[in-house]
Order: sequence, then C-alpha cells, then structure tokens
Amino acid sequence: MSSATAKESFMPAPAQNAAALPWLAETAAIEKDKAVNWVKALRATGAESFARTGLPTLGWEGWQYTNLRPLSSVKFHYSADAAVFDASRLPAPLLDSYRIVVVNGQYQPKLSSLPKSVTVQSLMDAATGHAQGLEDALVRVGDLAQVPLVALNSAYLRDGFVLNVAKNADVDKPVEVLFFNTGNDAAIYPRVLYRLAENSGATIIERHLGMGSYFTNIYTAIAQESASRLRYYRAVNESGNSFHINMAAVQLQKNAQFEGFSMATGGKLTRQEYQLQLLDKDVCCSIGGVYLINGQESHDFTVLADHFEPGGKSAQHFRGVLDDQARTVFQGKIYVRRSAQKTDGYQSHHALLLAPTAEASAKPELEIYADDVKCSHGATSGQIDPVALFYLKSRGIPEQAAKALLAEAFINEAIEQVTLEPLRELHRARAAQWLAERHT
Amino acid sequence: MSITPETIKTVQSLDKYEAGFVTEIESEFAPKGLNEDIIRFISAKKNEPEWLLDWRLKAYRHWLDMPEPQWAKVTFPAIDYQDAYYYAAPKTAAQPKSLDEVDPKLLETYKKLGIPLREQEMLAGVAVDAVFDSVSVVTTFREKLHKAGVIFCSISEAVQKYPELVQKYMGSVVPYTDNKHACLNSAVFTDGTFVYIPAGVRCPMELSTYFRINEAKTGQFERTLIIAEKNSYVSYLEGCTAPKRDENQLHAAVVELVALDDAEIKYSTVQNWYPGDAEGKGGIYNFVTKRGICKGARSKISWTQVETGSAITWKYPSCVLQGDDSVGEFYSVALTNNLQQADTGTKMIHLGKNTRSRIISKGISAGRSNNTYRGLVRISHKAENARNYTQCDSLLIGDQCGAHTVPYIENKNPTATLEHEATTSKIGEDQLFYCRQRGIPDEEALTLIVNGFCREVLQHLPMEFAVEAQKLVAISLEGSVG
Repeated sequence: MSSATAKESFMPAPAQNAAALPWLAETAAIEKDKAVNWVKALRATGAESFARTGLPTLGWEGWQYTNLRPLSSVKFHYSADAAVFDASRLPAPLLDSYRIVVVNGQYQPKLSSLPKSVTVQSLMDAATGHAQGLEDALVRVGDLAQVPLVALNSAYLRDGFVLNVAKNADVDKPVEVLFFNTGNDAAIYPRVLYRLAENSGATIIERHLGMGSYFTNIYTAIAQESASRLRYYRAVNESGNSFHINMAAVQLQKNAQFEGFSMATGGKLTRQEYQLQLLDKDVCCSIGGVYLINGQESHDFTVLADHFEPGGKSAQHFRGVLDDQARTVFQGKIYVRRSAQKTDGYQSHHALLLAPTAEASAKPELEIYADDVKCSHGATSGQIDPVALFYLKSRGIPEQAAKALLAEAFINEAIEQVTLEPLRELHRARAAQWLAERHT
Repeated sequence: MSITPETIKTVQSLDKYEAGFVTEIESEFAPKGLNEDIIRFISAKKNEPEWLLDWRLKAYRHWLDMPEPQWAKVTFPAIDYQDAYYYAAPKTAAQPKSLDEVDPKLLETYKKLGIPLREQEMLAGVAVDAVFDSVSVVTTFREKLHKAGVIFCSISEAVQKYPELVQKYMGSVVPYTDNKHACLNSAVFTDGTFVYIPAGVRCPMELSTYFRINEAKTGQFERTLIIAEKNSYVSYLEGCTAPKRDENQLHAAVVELVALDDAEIKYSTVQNWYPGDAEGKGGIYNFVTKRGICKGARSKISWTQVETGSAITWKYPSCVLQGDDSVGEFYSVALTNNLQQADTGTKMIHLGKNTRSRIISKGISAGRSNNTYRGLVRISHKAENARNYTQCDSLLIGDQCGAHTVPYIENKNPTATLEHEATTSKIGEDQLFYCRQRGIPDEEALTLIVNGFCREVLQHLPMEFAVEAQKLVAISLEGSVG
C-alpha cells in the first residue's frame, strides 16, 4: 500500500468506466450553444472525471448505505430544449414572497419576481456576461473524482441560475425558489449559486416538486461574505418516481450566519448533502432536517461541518420517521482543523421506525485536530416508546391516534429550529398531515 | 489505588519503553520471504496434519489476490512481505516438561518484563502461556488446570492432541477470507494459545498469554482460540512487548472466541508493543483481527483492552451475538503519543433476540498522534428487542494531535433501541490548577486526570492488569506536558 489515506484509496483506476458512458451520451447537445472557454473546460473536466469513476457504488466511503443501482435501471435523457409546461399549473407560493421559477433546471425570468437588492441571471447569461468571480466560484469544487455526481453535473454545465444579494441589503420578504420538474425520464442538471455580499441578509425557500419520472442532480453553491445572514430552507417533495441528488457547498466568511433546514416528504431516492465550510473566525451555522418517508422511499442526509478558523459554531439536528420498507441514512461529520480552536460543534440524529421492515443507518463522525474544542454527538434509533403509548391509550386515545401524536411530537422537536414562523407552521401541518395519512 | 511514588520512579528510571531490550538467544529461522515453501516449512516444523497444511495453502493463495484494507485512518509505507522472517524460534531442546527445563535466558527475559513465570508456579495466581517470537515456550499450571478439565496449551500442541476440536472451531469465527491480515495469519501462523473450558466448569484461575517479539525482521503471527462450552466461565489476559528497533515489524494475530449456551468469556488485553521513538521511527504494526461469537443463548463475551503501544494499531475486537439473550461488551482505552496512530473500536452484530451490547471507548491523544474510534453496531431484522449503548469519549492533550470518532449504526429492527454518545474535550486548566495548588507536579497531575478519565474501563480489568495498565498510561504520557 502506498502512503494512501482512506479517501484516496477509493479513487478508481484511471481507466474508463463502461457503465458511466451512457450518462455522458448527451453532452454533445449542449456543445452546440456558444459558451465561454472556462465553461467548456469545466464541462470537459467533469465528463472526463465521471467517465473514469462512474456512479459511486456501495464500496465507496460515504455511499455504503445509499444504493444508486435503481438509478441505472431507468434510461434518463438530458434535453437542452426549452422546457414546455403549462404555467397556470405551477403551484402558488407557500408564503407571501418573491419568486424564482426553475422548470426542468431552466430559469424562467418571466415567471420570476424580485426586489431591487437581489439580482438573478441564468447561469449561461452570467457566464457570458463575465459576472465577477463567477468562474472562481464555479470551478472551485474540489477533487471531482471524490464527487462523481458533481462531476456529472459539471459535464452538463448549462442550466441553473446565479443570485446576488447586494451589500448591506436586507431582503424584506423570503425568496421562494420553485424547482418544478415535468417528468418524461428527464435528466436534470441545474447549478445554482447564491451569493450574499457583505452584511446582507436573506431568506430563501427552495421547493422541489415534480410529476412523473425524472432524475435531478443539483449542485448548489452558497457563498456568504462577512457578516451576511442567510436562512436557507428546503421543502423536498418530489414525485414518487423521482431521484433527487443535491449537493450544497456552503462557504462562510467571518461572522457569517447560516441557518439551513430541509423538510423531505417524498421522492423515490433522495440524497441531500451539505458541505459547510467555516472559512473564517466566529462563523455561526446550523443545519437541520426532517424526513418523513414510507413505501420504498429512501432518504440520505450527508453533512460535513468543516471548521477552518477559531471560534466557529456548528450545530446539526436531524430527525425522521420511517414507515413500510423505507430506508434512511444519516452521515454527519464535524471536522475541526488544527487552527480552529474554541470550536463548538454539535450533531444529533434521531430516527423513529414505525414498521418492522424499515431501516435506519447512521454514521455520526468526529474528526478533530484542535484541543480546545467542545464537540459531541448523539444518535438514537428505535420505535415509539411503549410506556408513552400505554399512557395515552389508558386515557382513551385510540392506538393509531396516539401513535401519530407521539410521532408528531417527536418530529416537531426538530421543526422547532425553523426561525421563520409561518414556514414552521406549514412544516408542522405537513408533518401532521403525513402522519394522519399513515394511519387511515 | 495510588500509583504515585511508583510512577515517578518508573518514569525517572526508564528510557520510556521498559520492554525495549533484546534477548541474546540463538534462534532458528525459516528463510526470509513468503511463498508456499515457507508455509510447507512451518507446517512441517510443527508436524502438522495434512488438513491444516491444505488450509494454510488455501489461505495463502487467497491472500495473494486480496486487497489491503484501506478504510482505516492510518498511513504507512507499503509493507514488503518478502523482507521478513515468518518463523523464528529460540533453539531449545524438546518441549519443556517443567520450568526447570526452560532456557534460563528466556526465564530471565520474562522476569525482566515482570512476568513472573516461576513465582507464579509457587503462588496460586495466573496460569501463563508465554509465546516468544514464533513459538510458545512455556505454559504454567498445567496440572491444576488439567484436574479441572480445562485445556490450556499452545495451539501447536492442541493441533497434535485435540485435532478434532481445532479443526471444528479454527476459522469458524474469523474465516481466512475475512481480511488480508487475518488471511496472512491463517497461512503463516506459528503458534498461539488454545483454551477449552468443558461444560459447567468455572476456570479456577485467570489464564494469561504473554507475547514477545524478540528477533529483528520477524513478524509475529499467533492465533488464539478459546472455546467455552455450555455454562462455563473463563477470564483470559493477554500482554505483549517487543524490543526497540528502527524498522517496523508486523504483528498480525487472530483471536477467535466461541461461547456456547450460558457461557461467559472475559478477554482482557494490555497491549504494549514497541511504539517507535519520538520521531516515529520503528515500532510494531499491530494489525489484529479479534472476534467472538456468542453462539449459545444467554452467553456473554466481554472485551477489555488497554492499547498504549504499537506504531499503528488496527484492531476491532468484535462480538457476533447469535444466541438469544446474549451479551457483548467492549471496554477500551487507547492512548497514543508522539507519532503513533491508532484506529480501533469494535463491531457488535446483533442477530438473536433480546441481545444486548455495551461499548465504552476512551481515546487519549497526545504529541502528534492520531487516535480514531471506529465501530459498527448492526441490528439485523430478527434481532427483536436488541439494545445497544455506546459511549465514546476522546481527550486531546496538546494541539498537535487528532481525535476522531467514526461510528456506523445500522438498525433493521424497530424494536431495537440504540443509543450513541460521543464527546471530545481537553484536560481542563482548572483540573490541572487544582492539582498544582496541592503541590502535585504537572506530569503526575496529568496521569491522575487521565487515569480518572479511563477509570470506567480500567475497573473492568483483572486487578493485576489494572495496576499495570495504570502504570503504562503514566509512562506512555511522559513528555506530553510542559
């Protein structure tokens, strides 16, 4: 063995992977459009890297519990054509908010409305317009061989948008970003970049919805300048025949604040990965999530909180309820670099299993190189407490209702973290509705 | 128990690694390198039956194509398997009948190491099997154990005397296909310990094996097999040391435990292989596969380990909880200093109903070392009402070291209850201040605090080992404050 670290060891041999090639078959379609050189170069690098690795298999560290084989059983197609859809059928906004509409990965300026302090451009417009720092922000994705799905997304680099919040601006209403997918075995590769300038503040609510069968592989980059504040919420409710893979890379500068929360209630296979980089001093970030899954659904939360500098705080709180044959994975990691003294890191995951065939796996990890830190984690998984259930039943509450009540209380504890009150109420109602459906 | 005066003395008088001397003794080697002929040579030396040679060769052929396990958080240059001796034995006459026939030089070695073979023959205490390089040199207390029906001998002897037992159980818990290191061991193992406790017997004393690597450029590949029949009990201790050398030596052992209905096996290890010097030169690569199976209902296997030595520790003593109501326990202290690397933990595989497991792991990193806890708790579909509690605490001493926790938790049964907790912290300034205020020097205060941190684990060790373990912790921490 060479002096290989565990990570490097999963680098596959530099040969082409036959199973990878069909995924890249449609890259030629986007080459017809004009694009700046660095975009072309990034596409080529992504395609080359993906051709070597293919999709990650169960043998990969970080992918032991999420099997992507079902993804290969459907032949998905990428389409560069303008999305065709009936705008009147798009769902209304959740709250009183600004709006960005993205259909099959393509930004729809006509359906979007934004305040002055926020600018949005489609990714390709931003690239041809030489938007400042864009190349740097997009190219900096690390070693593509470690993240094959990001490599694949890069190979099809074209769709998505760039959002900028101006310096010192505080956006008065939330910005809803509606990702709507129309099915037809579409492969969708949007790339989204949210940039918050110094001392700005915004709330973003992403909604992921769709019909029919599709595969959406999103790469989200969030760059927060110093003292900026972002609330980044997601409601993932994809169609029952869909695959949703989402990698979010969050870069936080000095004194930045980030609050992330994701509620997932649908989709055949969902993986939400967050990489939080606390690049400078005194960054405060929290990331949380809830999943409610049943049938054959599977959900994966993979989170890395990477502390670079002193005084950072990161918190991870995840909870979920599983029924039927549903499967869940939580992989959380707190990484504290040598220089990141006085770090405060916390991580928790709690899974509630309602059916004997449900499966929960967790890997809460700590990797710590600084000595003056406080890091801890907790993970539990189990069924509804029979004592609590008995208590409710003895007071005349029917078993099913009692179970739903206890599950609701369990899940609400995580929903609590959402500081945007109207959204918190919506999440609560959604959870209650989901649980009620389980018991009728 | 206070260890203070003794610790000071030890720390002052020692050049850190007390067991780092070499015994000048004439040894017999197999030619250097690894191939089928070497395996035939070892097998012939040991006068082994055909089936065992076949098994070794099968393992060797499998080993050739097997990849090295790469998931652990350790780094080291590639091992040149051809640049080592796979068999080294002190040249003595036939198997000694009693201690009087043992080469005095060997007895001297063990005395220096504080393993009182002769004294223990007099005092009722611990029965010891001493393994020197590749072979078992002496086993004490045979008579007394024999009366109780307990078999305690070297594995080579067991192959000759109890082939049916060895054939039945060897490789049943850790098959040679398990991992590259276990596979190599299956091909070239030279000796080890065999313990058989018959049904209904409570082993009258603690059993112990002491492993010693003496010769340069040798690897040590021993195999331990412990079988506890129905309703029996045994407590087994293991200790290890090696001389100081500049090159790295490989130690790839396999330990298999089998507990049948109502049986209990308690397995304790104090591992103090040579850790290399302050610059990370030399030291043992300790790549060990330890696994026990709770085959019978209500059986129990308990692992306790204190890991202070070795340049690299790669070790995951595990329990397969197959019998209903069986119990697995893992108590571990892993201490790394200088440039040591430890990646250690456990696997608890719950298969039977009402199985319970408990994991308490204490990692201490000092110097520039890296210490990783890596553990798996798996609840299978059929493991109704399984229960696991895991607690991993890490302590960092100094700002150049690393402490990592990598637990894997897999639950396929909703009636199971799994709890996992982990913390990472450093020694509190207030704790040190409190000690200083009372006139306790820094070094000693550190030892005191660390021993307090490990107490929960150390108290599970048999008394003699607990004292030794506390001393080891003190010595291993030397130079990590001030």
